[in-house]
Amino acid sequence: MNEVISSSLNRTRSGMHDVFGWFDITNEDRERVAALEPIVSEHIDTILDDFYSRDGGFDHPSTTMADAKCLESIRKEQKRHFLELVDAGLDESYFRTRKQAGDFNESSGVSPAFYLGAYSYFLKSLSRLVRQSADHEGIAVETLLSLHRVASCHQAMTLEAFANARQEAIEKREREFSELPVPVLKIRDGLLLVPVVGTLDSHRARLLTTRMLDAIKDIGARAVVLDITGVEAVDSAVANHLMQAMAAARLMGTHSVLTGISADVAQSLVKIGVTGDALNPAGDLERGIETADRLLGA
Amino acid sequence: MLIASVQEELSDSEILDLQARILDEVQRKSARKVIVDVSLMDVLDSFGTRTLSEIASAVELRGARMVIVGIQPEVAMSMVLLGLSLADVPTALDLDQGIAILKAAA
Repeated sequence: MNEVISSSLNRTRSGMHDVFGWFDITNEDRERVAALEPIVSEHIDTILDDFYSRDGGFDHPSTTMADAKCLESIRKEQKRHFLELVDAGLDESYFRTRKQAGDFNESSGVSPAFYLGAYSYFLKSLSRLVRQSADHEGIAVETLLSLHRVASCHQAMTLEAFANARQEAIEKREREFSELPVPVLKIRDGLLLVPVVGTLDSHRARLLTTRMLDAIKDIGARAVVLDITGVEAVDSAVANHLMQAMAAARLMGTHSVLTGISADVAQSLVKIGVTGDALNPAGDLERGIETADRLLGA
Repeated sequence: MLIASVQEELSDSEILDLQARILDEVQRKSARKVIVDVSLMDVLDSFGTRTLSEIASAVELRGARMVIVGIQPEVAMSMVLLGLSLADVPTALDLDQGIAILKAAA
């Protein structure tokens, strides 16, 4: 049992060997690249200085990096990143740090173009150093080819982490959007208005219904006007959520009126077979409030 | 007017007892209006809901009217999720509103 669990863990952990497979990286490649470590350590600061002092370093118009402190941290991260390339490791822990690199790039506004530009500058400078230090041209070419493969792999993983980090940021924003506040407004004694805005997924529908029911109890409401002018699309799930909210309100002895059904929404409601009876609709908000008043008077 | 206040959780047999007692009392006192207050209950399942509608129908057959009052927000929420709508019984928020509804209907 333990064996099964640990082997499945290993597989899900990274997929490192899959990635190495695509780039045909051999142990020989790794050794050659690792042997460059002294050269890189010695020259990394000079290379980075050169990169930033030329046009298209930090002055590049497409970089949106904010302040000196941020620039400093990016530079530090780059140095670590390039040293990591020649660190003989290339193991699991190295693979995991890709995620950090992706998050770092995403959060500090480093664009993929800037990252690759800096990388290419670094490789160009390193290639020159390798050719200078190699005994003869053949060895230098072999070393550079190995470097190329490992660097491609290194870049690919960073870019993948980049994309993942961005995807996460988008998902987070979507979550925040779906957690838009659900206001419940008291118009006058016994009458509540619930404006529904944005998308109504089941999580939010639940929140909306709970809020509405609590407010009904707190102010002793006898009528509720649900306004869906701000809801873009209504499918059967959303219609169902609305009907549930209204049914729950009725259980508490409260009349509910649905307003703000646009022509499009009305058409799609008819198509999915929702008729007026279940929703107690009343044109626009004004007539909805009139209807609610009439229900209150009755 | 008859007011039945349900104290707390009711087992199925206690709900049936309640049903029998309400109908007895309606007959004995010739009550015209019945209010069942469930505000202390924090759960109302399908059996309870069905029995409440049965009580309401039976009360109506006796020529009286019945209102259920005090369904709590959480109870309403879980009833709706269970698909229980209690559609044929009038409901009201609290005792006052229940009395108002019955007075208006009389």
